[in-house]
Order: sequence, then C-alpha cells, then structure tokens
Amino acid sequence: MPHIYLSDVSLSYPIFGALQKAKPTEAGASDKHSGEIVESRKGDVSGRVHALKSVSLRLEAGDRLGLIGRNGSGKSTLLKVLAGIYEPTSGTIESSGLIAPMFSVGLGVRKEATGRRNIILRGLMNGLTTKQAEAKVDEVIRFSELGRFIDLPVRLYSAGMAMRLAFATATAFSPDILLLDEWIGAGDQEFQKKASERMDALVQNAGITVIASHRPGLIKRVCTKALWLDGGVPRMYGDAAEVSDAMLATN
Amino acid sequence: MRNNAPVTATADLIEGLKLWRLWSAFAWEDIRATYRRSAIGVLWISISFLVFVAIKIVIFGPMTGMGNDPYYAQYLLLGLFTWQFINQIVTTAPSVFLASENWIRNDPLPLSVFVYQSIARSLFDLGLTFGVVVLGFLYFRPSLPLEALLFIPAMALVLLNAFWVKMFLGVICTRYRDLGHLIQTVMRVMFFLTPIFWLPSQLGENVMKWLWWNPMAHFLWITRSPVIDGDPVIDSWIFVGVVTVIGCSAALTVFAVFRRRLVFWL
Repeated sequence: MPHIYLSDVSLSYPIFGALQKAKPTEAGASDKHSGEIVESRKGDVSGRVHALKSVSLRLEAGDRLGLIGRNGSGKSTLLKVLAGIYEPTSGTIESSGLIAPMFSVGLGVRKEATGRRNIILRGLMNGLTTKQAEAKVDEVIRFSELGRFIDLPVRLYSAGMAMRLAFATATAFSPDILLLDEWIGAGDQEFQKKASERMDALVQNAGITVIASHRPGLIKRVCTKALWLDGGVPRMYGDAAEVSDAMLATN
Repeated sequence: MRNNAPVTATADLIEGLKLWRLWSAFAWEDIRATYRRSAIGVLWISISFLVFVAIKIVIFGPMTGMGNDPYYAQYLLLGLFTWQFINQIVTTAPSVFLASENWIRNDPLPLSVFVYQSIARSLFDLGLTFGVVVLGFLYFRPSLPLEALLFIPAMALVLLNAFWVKMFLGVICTRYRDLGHLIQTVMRVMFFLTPIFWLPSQLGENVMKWLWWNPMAHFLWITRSPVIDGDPVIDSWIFVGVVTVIGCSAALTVFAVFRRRLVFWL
C-alpha cells in the first residue's frame, strides 16, 4: 500500500552569493511567514535558508492532504521532500508508491519536443517500454483535449494547455501518489472539474494526493486533511475544514 | 515500475542504467534539438569533421615536411578523432546536471541518468566521425597491422574514462561555477599541447619528458599508435590504467557524498 511517513523532518538549504549585503534596518526582518535566512557570517552573501522545521506526517492510502500557508511558508519545499527530490537535513522520510509530481508548468517537460513525445518520455521515466508508453498516448490526448496540438512542440502551448498535458500525462500512468503545487489555478472550469473527478478516482483506488495552495477555501473543498505551515513550522494539522477555517480566521 | 529516488550511489548507478530507454530518448532529443529544421541534419557532424581534417592536412602537412605522405593523413585522422571525442566529453561535462535542471527539480530520477544521457549523445557524434575515419583509412591504407585490434579495447577504456569525467566534473562544476569556464580555457590550450597534428619527434628529444605527463597524449597514443605504427605502447596503457582507477574512485566518492545535495546547487 502506498504511504509516506515523515518524522521530525527539518530542511535547510544553502544559498551561494545570492544574498544582498543588506543594511540591518531594511524590511527583510519583518517577513515572519517565510523561512528564516541565516548568513554564514554576519554580512556574508552566502548562507542557508531554514525552510522546514520539525514536520511530522503520516499519509496512508486514501488520504488527501492540503498544505496551506502564506507564500514562502514552505509548502512547495515540503512537496519536494515528499517527492524525494530534497533530502531532509534532519529527520526521516519513508515512502512507497509511484509518485507523480506536478510542481510548476515547465518543469519535467522538454519544451522543444512535441506533446506526444513528452507523454512517451514520462512513460519511459516510469520504467515502461516505448510501446507500453505509446499505448497511453490516445487516452492522454482525449483527456487533455489537445487534439492536433499534441504534435506541436510544447513551447507553443498556452499555460493552460501545458498544464492540461502535464496533468493528463502524470495521471495516465496510474500513480499511487499525486503531488500538486497550486495546479488548479491554470485550466478552465471545465477542465478543473474533470481533474477533480480523476483525483477522486485515484484516491478511491487507494492512492494519496497532496495539494499545496495558499487558498484555504480550495483546500477545504478538495481535501480531507490539512497542514498549515507558517515560516516553515507546522502550526496546525488535522481535519481540512478545521485547519482552513483557523487559517482564514487569522487573516 | 520504478518508485522513488534511489537511496545509495550504487543503487543510483544501477537504477539509472536500467532506465536506458529514457536516457537514450533524452540524448536523441538533444540531437534533434541541435539539428532542428536542418535539411541534412546530423550529417553536419561528419561533414564538419571531414572539412576540419582536410584543412589540417593541407596546412600542416607541408609544415611537418610530410606534405603528400599518407602517414600524416592517418596520423591526423585518428588523432583528431580521439581528440574530438575527449574534447566533447570534457567540455560538456560541467553542464551534465545543469542542463537538466528542469528534470532534477521535478522528478526523483537517479542522477546517473543524466551522465548516461550525456555520454550517449557524445557516442552518437563519435559514430558519425568514425565513419569518416573508416573511409579515410580505406583510401590511405586499406591493410592494417594485427596490433590495430588494440583500438577496440582502447576505445572501451576511453569510454570508461568519459564516464568518470562526466560524473566528477558534472558534480563539482555545478557547485563551483568558475570551474566550467576554466575547463573550456584549459581544453583550448591542451589542443596545442597534445600531439594531435604535430609529431613529438619534430620538437626534439626533451619534449617527450614533458609530454609523458600529459594524460590526453596517452589516450591518443593508445588509440592511434597500434593502428598506424603497429606499436602497442604498453607504458601508455599503464598510464591510462592508473588514471582510470584514480578517476573512477574520485568520481564515485564525490558522487556518493554530494549526490543528494546537488539539487540545492542548481
């Protein structure tokens, strides 16, 4: 059965030469909702961002988790930890199941290649043969409603079209765990409805879905559980409606 | 079906190898993107190599006093063939992971996939330049000595070295961005310091003392000397063997230690 267990996970990552030699009076210090930036030495241009602090989670088959919080609160970072892209600085993660990540439009695609070719690449990535991957193409075309655009390079797609392709492709290879970052913003009403239905089907087939969003209303509607992050620290974890309402109440 | 990111460096290398369909497809996409909308496409690789060799023969032949000697044509053909591969391997190594940032940030793939992809892409070019070498030898020297068979294991050794160079430079150049630029500069100098289009005998006896410490020269010798001189160059094999062992150990260590941190360096 697919699962993800996070135990006391913290993550800090290095930044090289990107910090401004800031004057101490500048506004930076007032941003309490983002991870903390710590210079290597006082006034240094390199340092570390403490993006997540002591996050523990247990996700089992059928769970639908929403990650909420302000911009920069660590939602996307946590999604990348769940995907196995970022290794925690401390704490442990244990997971099982085929992961389908959908972070931002433009990641995980070859823009010069056609939509069709990108579907095949995604199949090969999951360990399929070219033939097995080709068998999924028609279904992806139908779901994404891309029609003849499927044979054009992805760089010619609109943001909505690229998102439709990404979602249709990611879900076509029967993943166990779907990780979505603010995906629902793109795509029209019609497609959003289809996407929700497909996510329902996935969860009913004992899958796991994790969605990050800064909009508590959406999380309340789509998820069963929610984790509210603030400055990389878990502030509240539990029933999606309760956590969303609590976050709405503070704004 | 594969699941999550591999846990150890060894698992990464093996899992990556298993995804051969993926990295061959990636390599093919790289080639397609380079020659997009070009009428003769990948044939440019052969043509540009052919023109380069021909010009070198015309200009440097008379300068070496071997204007019409077919030996010099063979010397240049094989020398440039090996050099071009080495040069491509080394100069593209710093961007092995940087060029695939798009995937590394999104998918928990074994990182070795991108090393294999980069080698596969270089191998494709190698195949096309090899075609020119074969044609050249058919014209200049159709019968080769038995020692010429050593060319095959020599190329296998070159390939093994390509692997560690890509992995080692790929990791450290992602972290230290100046190194990539330094390498481009060094390789431009090495073209002149390596006996590709000149013969060591032309520069007097002392030059061999220095040349012996140029690893690129040994790679050229093990692939070229058996074929055109019938000389197995045993000491060069030993030199290359030592370089291979040290290089592979260094690359595997660096890969094992920094693999999981690489994504933060992109």
